[in-house]
Amino acid sequence: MADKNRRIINLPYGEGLERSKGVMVIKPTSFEDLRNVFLFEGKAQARGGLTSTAVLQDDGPTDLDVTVLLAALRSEAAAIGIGYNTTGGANREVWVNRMDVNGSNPLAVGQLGTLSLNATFTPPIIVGADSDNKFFIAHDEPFLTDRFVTVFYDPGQNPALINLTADLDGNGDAEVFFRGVVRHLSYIFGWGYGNAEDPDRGDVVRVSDSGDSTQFQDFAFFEAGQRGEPVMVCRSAGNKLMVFKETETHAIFGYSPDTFGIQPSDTLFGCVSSRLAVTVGGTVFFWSTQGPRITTGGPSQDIAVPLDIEGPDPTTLVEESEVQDAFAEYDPATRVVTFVWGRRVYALSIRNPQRPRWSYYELGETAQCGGQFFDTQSTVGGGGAPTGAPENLTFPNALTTDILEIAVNFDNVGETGVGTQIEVQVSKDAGATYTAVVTVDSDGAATNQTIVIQEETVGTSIKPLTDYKIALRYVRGGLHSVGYTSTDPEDWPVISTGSTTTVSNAPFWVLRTGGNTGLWTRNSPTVNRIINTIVIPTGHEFLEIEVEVQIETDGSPVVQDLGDGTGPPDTVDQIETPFAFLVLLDPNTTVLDRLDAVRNRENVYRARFVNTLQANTGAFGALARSWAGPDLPTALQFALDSGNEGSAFWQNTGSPARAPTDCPPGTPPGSHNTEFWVTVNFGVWSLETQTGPFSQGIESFDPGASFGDEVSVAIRHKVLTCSAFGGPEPSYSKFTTTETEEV
Amino acid sequence: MTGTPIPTLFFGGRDTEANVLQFSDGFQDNTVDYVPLAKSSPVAPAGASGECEFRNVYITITHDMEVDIRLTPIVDFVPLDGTGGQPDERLVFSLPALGARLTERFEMGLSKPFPLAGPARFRNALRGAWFQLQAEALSPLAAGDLIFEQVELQYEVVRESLVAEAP
Repeated sequence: MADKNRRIINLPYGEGLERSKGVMVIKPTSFEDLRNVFLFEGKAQARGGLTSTAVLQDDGPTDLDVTVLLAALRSEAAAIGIGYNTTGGANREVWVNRMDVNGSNPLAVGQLGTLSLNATFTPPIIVGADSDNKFFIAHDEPFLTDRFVTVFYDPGQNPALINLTADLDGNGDAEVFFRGVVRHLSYIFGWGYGNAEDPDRGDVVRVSDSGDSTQFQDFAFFEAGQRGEPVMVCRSAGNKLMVFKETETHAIFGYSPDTFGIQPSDTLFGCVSSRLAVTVGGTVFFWSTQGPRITTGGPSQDIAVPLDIEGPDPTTLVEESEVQDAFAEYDPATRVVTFVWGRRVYALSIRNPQRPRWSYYELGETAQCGGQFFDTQSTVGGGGAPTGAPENLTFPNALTTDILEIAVNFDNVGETGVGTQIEVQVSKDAGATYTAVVTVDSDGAATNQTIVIQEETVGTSIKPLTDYKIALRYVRGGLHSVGYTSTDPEDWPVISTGSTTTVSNAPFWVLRTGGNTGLWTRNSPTVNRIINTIVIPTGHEFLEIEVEVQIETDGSPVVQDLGDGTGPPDTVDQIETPFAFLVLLDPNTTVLDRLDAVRNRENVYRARFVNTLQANTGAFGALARSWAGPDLPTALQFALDSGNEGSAFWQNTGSPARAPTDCPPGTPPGSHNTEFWVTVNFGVWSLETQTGPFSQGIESFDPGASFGDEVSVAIRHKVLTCSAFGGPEPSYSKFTTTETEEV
Repeated sequence: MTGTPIPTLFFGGRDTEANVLQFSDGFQDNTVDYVPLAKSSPVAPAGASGECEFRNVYITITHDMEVDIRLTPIVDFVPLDGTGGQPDERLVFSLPALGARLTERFEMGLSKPFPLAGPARFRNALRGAWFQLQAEALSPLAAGDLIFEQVELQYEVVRESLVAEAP
């Protein structure tokens, strides 16, 4: 039997917090305290937890200490994380990581910088936004001198972090120092920076070009309200960009540079920090000086009343963080807007937008930042780290004429994804220190891609006869394949490394008139001097030069008396002494000055570059032929007349014309004579006569030939030793070529 | 559930290291337990000057999580939790792990010991003007869902409030 006196009150969950109303007017279905639940219409569900998917790293990789930014890079189905270090030698360093959209596999893609010791906020407040397949990063630091330059992460570049520069004052490009960035429509908006001449303009909001978010024009800016009162944060509200200052709000309207404008939107309320505003479906939820409010582009509305934030907190509710560390985010899975103050979260369930409901979250770990990651399918970059490696390195061609280069041929094994590049690291002298010299696009070919490393094109030092180690790896958006993440290529799999030695072209000799390369002088009865001039090609300056010498006879068919005391005729081989080491010249030597030339012989020199450090030698070049004696006569003309009389004429060039050349300065010269040799029917040669100094012909001589005989003549210069040397031994030139006439 | 990928919210940690923390995942905050709690606003069924006997509370919970639930009655703003000289009239009951969500109603009889010295042989109904109920899940939580649906308070009016004169 029912108890008629009993009554019931239904208290459905889900009405949310109501802490501002008095107990006499409060709705029974509201709640005085709700923690760690989010609200539906009529029910409250326990929230999920926080699961660590990764720890951000520096390039060590060493774990960092504080996560200061998390955000999506939607175009690549990836995520960006920025971490801050508070310990050790890397203290205060800020590193940018790229991650998978599930929050795993963080890899450092660059360092944002080292936080100034004078920075206002520690850890730093970092604000970022993705646009145009790039991620823009700004440092919300009030003092310009302690603020990081604004950078953008470009997955298609290496290095992937690039300083943002713009000509904002007409004086050329300069680095830009925004306090914050946000994307709106097809633009990036940055605030808190004027230009290089007038940088400290917290009230200025700049807008990028539409087609290129990295380009900012000097005229494309807005001044929001009172100068000197900084913009705190900007957020999209539909087709407007709400510009929040601390106690007022402005709205940038329009959709292009021609239609953009700015007007006051709310003269009483703004946002109290750079991250306490979030856009959900065209509505901006932000935290004002009187707590949370919302705006859809016009004057804001209060949603803070049920929280009674000016009143006492619920008993045991965890403490708030500092305001600069607070941030707002939206959880699409639970449809909850979260205002996160460290471990305390004001959670606004907006499943029914007309009746938002509040609850608290108490986090087990202090949150410093938040961000949504988008597992989108429409990516442009292939997403994430490359998966393969360049393998099977060969070096098909290490030198082309006069161009020092290293050609690397390799196979692309397992390479996937658009935008993969190949990073080339080079170690010189086979040392352990590598330098990244160039990054080129992968051509996608499975086999035989070739990269040519040229000094002229990569600006690095490629030297001849030098040992190099080459290491290759894939890079995409600053990420590398598994096994290739170390900054030291010695740690990479050996299949992606190789070594080669560059080759060298040869030094060459300056050629003198007359065919000799060297300049001969006789300095004493026993000292014959030959000076050759060496030309060193570009790029060989640091190499030593190894010289060899070979001694040859004249090589003339004239059986000759070489004046060596053995009496005519001498019969010797053309090569008397084959090539042998002569001397090692210091680098940059351009003169080969020898006092040990062999008199009356062809002193033949050859040279090559030597890397003595690594025992690498180059090829020998052209020979330097230097006769240790006077130059030979030229233009020999020989004729026989009907009476079997002969005549011959020649010219004296080279050393005879310059006589004296074989005596010390200030001493009487020696004499230049010309020996005239004759043979009949190619028999034994005999010295017909010896003409006087500088003679140029014999007008008549009798060769002793009969009708039908063939008479051959050849001549050479003979220089008698000057009296100052006191020796009898003459110096001879080579013979001229033989001239033959038939009687 | 749809297969449409929903953007995932992550928080960045700062307590020990630069953690990347996926929100709404698991049942701990990076190894730290947390407690869902709901404390209703005070109701005075008979008015502030009236008096009621609060007989029963029926709480409806949907769950597949294995967890202990504790209900704490609060009468006239004083929790009956064994502190401050008050009797401990809290109720703790366990929910088992389930393979699918199940909605259940749980009844809590409201009473307290008769205020005489010696062993408690008699119990009285809770009497007062104001009533609140605090429901909380005791850590540790476990995998699954825990949803508080509704509380139904059963009471009898002992004395109505007097009707106030029109001001």
